[in-house]
Amino acid sequence: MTTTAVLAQAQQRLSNAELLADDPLWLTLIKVVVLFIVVMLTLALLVWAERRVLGRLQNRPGPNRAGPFGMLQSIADALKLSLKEDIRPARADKWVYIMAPIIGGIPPFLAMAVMPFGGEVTMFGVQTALQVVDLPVGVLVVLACSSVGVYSIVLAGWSSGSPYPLLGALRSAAQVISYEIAMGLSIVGVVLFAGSLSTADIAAAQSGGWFAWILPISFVIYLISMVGETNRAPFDLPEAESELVGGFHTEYTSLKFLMFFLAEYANMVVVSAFATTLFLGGGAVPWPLSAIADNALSSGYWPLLWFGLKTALLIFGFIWARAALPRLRYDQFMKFGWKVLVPLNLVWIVAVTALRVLRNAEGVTSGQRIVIIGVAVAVLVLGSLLLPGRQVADEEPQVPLAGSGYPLPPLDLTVPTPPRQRRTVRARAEQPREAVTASGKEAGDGNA
Amino acid sequence: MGMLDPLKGFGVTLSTMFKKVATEEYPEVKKVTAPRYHGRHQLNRHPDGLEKCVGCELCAWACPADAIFVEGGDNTDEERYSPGERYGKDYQINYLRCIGCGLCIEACPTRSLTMTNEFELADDDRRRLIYTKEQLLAPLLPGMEAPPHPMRLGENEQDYYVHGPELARRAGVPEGRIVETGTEEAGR
Amino acid sequence: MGLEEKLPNGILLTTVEKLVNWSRKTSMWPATFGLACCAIEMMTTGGSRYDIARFGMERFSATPRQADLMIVAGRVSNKMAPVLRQIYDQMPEPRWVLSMGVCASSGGMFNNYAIVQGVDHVVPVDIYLPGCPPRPEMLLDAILKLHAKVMDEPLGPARAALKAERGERTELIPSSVRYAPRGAGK
Repeated sequence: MTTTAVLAQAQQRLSNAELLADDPLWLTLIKVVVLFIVVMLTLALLVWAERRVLGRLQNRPGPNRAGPFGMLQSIADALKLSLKEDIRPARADKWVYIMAPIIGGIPPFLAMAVMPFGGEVTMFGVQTALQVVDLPVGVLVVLACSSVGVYSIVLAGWSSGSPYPLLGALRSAAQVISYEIAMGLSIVGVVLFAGSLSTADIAAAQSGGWFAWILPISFVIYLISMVGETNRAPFDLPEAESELVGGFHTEYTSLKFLMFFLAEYANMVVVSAFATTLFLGGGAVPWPLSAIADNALSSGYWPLLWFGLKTALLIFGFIWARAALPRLRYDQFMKFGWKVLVPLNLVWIVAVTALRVLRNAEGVTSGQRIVIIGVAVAVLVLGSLLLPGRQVADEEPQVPLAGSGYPLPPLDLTVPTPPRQRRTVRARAEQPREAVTASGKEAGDGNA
Repeated sequence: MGMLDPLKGFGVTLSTMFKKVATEEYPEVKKVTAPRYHGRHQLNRHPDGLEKCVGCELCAWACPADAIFVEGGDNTDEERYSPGERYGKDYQINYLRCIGCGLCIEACPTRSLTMTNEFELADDDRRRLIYTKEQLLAPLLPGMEAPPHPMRLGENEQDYYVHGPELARRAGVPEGRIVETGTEEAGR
Repeated sequence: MGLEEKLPNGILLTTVEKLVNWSRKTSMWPATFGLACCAIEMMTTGGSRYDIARFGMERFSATPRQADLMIVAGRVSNKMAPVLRQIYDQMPEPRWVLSMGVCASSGGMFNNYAIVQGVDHVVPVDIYLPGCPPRPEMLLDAILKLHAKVMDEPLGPARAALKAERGERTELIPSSVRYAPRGAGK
C-alpha cells in the first residue's frame, strides 16, 4: 500500500472531505442530532451491557430485573441519580466544581464528529458522506479532545476541597500525560503509512490491508494506552476504590456524577471508534465478506454496521480486561508506561520508517535490502547484549533480625521527641523562671 | 511462571462466560436450608394440642444474649394448657437479640422449644420482631385442640412425658411420623 | 429530598411517584460499610452465588456521596458511632439504612459498655434484619422487603401527610412467597 495508490484511489472516488464540503447546513444539523441521539442510546446500552457481560464473565447473570433482560437498568440509574439530592461541599470552589463535569461531558461528543463512519451516501437527495465533518487534522482533534477531558478530572479533584479527590486528580493528570505520549506515538506509524491526518483518509488508506496487520505493535500499544487514557480497569487508578474512596468524583453526587459517569463511557466509545478508524479499516467490511459482490457491503449505509461491530468488539475488550486483570500498583503502572510502552514505540517507529525508506528507495536490490535489515538486527541484538544486566538488590535485611525471626528495632535507635512533647519540655525548662517571677510578684503584692 | 501468564486470566474469564451461572435464583426459587439450620423458634405441642412448655425458664437462663423472656403460670383443672403443674404463661423471643446459637434448644427439658428452617424474618419495626407466644406456638395439626382443655391422652403428666410417642400413635398419629409438629409438617 | 417537594399535588403524581420509586428501587446503590462478621455475608451476597447485581445493586460505592442504602453490617462500637453518623450525613437524600444482623439492630449478645445497643440510636433504620450473621438469602429478603417499602413511599410532603393520615403500612411478605412463580404456588 503506497501513497501513490491512495492518491490514485482518491482520484477515482470523491474523498469524504470533498463530499462534506458542500453539505447544506440543515443536513449537517440532522447528522449532528442523529449522532448525538445514537451516542446517548449507545451509552445507555453500554452501561447495561457492561454490567451484564461483566456478570457473565464472573459466572453470574448480572442485572436482569429491570425490564426485558434488565435493559432498563441504566435508565433507572440515570433517573435515580438525577432525582438525588445535590450536595456541594462547603469547601468546594463553587463554579469550578459545577463546571468540571460539564467540561468532561462535552469533548467525547466533539470527538465523535470526526469519526468516519462510512463513505459516500445519498441522504435526502444530497450526495454526502457518513461523517459530520472531515478535518485535515482530524486525528489531532481526537487527541486534543481526550486531553481536554483530563481537565475535567483535574478541576473536579481540585475544586472538591478534599484530599482524596485531589490525589485522584493528580494521579489522573500524571497518568494521562504518560499514556497520551504512548498513544500519540502509536498513531505516528499510522500517519506515516496513510500520509494524512484526516480520519477519513486514514480509513480509506486501509483498503489494501488494515493497519492492525501492517503495524501490529502500534496497534497493541494503542489498545493498552487507550485503557490508560480512559481511566478504565486495570488502569483505573484515579478512582481506585480501595485507595482513594472514589478518586476525583468522591464528592460528586446526583446529576454531576451522572455527567462523569457518562463521560467515562463516552470516552470508551470514542477511543474504541478511533481505534477502529486507525487500525481496523473504519467502516470497511471484514475480509471474508469483502469478497461478496465486489465489496458491495462496504458501500452505502453498510459501513455503519461494520464500524459499529468493530467498535463493539473493542468495547468488549475493555470489559474483558476489567474482568480479567487486577488493578495495577501506581508505580508499576507509571514504569510500564514510561519504560516499556514509550521506548518500544520509539524503536518501532524508527524501524518502520527505515523499512519504508528502504522499500521506496530506488536502485536497491532485494538482496541488499535483506543485508541491510540483517545488519540492523545484528546491531540491535549485540547492543541489547551490551546493556548492563538488572542489578540484583542487596539481600541483606535493613532491620537486624533476632533469633526469633521477627524484625526488631536496632539497639542504637533514638526516638525523636514529638513536637508537642518538645514544646512541653521547653515549657517545663522555662517554668522555674516563671515561677520565680510569679512568686516575686506575689511577694510584691503581699508587701503592698 | 511463563510469559503468557498475564494473558491466562483472559482465557479463564472468557471460558466462564459460556458456563452455566452459579447463581441461586433465590426469591423465585425457595431456598431449602439444611435440616439442622437454626431458623425461627417454635413451641411444640403434645398430640392432643396441649403445650409442651412448662415455663421452667431454662431456655431463658441458657440464652447468652438474653433474648428469651418466660413467665410461668399455674395450670388448674378448669384451665389447663400443659399436662403438668406449670405452663408457660408468657413467652417472648426477641429476634433482634437472638443469635441462633441453639443453647435454648439444648436446655429445654421437654423438647418444647425447637427451631424451624424459616429465616425470612426481616421487618421494619423493632417491636414486631419480638415474637410472642401466639406467634411461636406450633400450628394445630388434625386431632389437636387448642388449649385450655383437660389431659386427653393420659391420667397425669408422667404418661405424657414417658409414653409420649405411644400415646400419640394411639391418638391417631401414623407410624413413622415424628410427634413434633413443625410448620413444615403442618404444610405437608 | 429534591425536586419533587416543589411539585403540586395532582392526578399525574401517582404515576410519577411510581416511576420515581421504581427507579430508586431498581438502582439502589449500597454504601460499603462492613463492620464485622456480617460484612463477610454481605460480600458473599455480592458474589456469584447470590449475585446482588440481579437487583442492580452491585455497585457498592466507596463514597457515601453516591450511595442510597447503608447496610450497617456488624456491631457498632461507641467509637464507631460518630463515624457511622457522619457517613450517613454525607449520603444524599433519599437514603435508606438497613441494619444487618442482631449486633447492629440491638447490640445482640454484646450487651456491654463498648457496643451501641442498636444502630437506631444513631441513625434512623428502615429495616431490621435479625440473624447472627444473617445468611445471604436473609439479606436479599431484607433488601426485597425494603424495595417493597420504597415502592410505597409517598412523593412529596402532601402525599406523605395523606398516607400518614390513612395509617397505611407496607405489608412485608416473605420474599419466597412474594416472588414465588405464578402457577407453581400452592
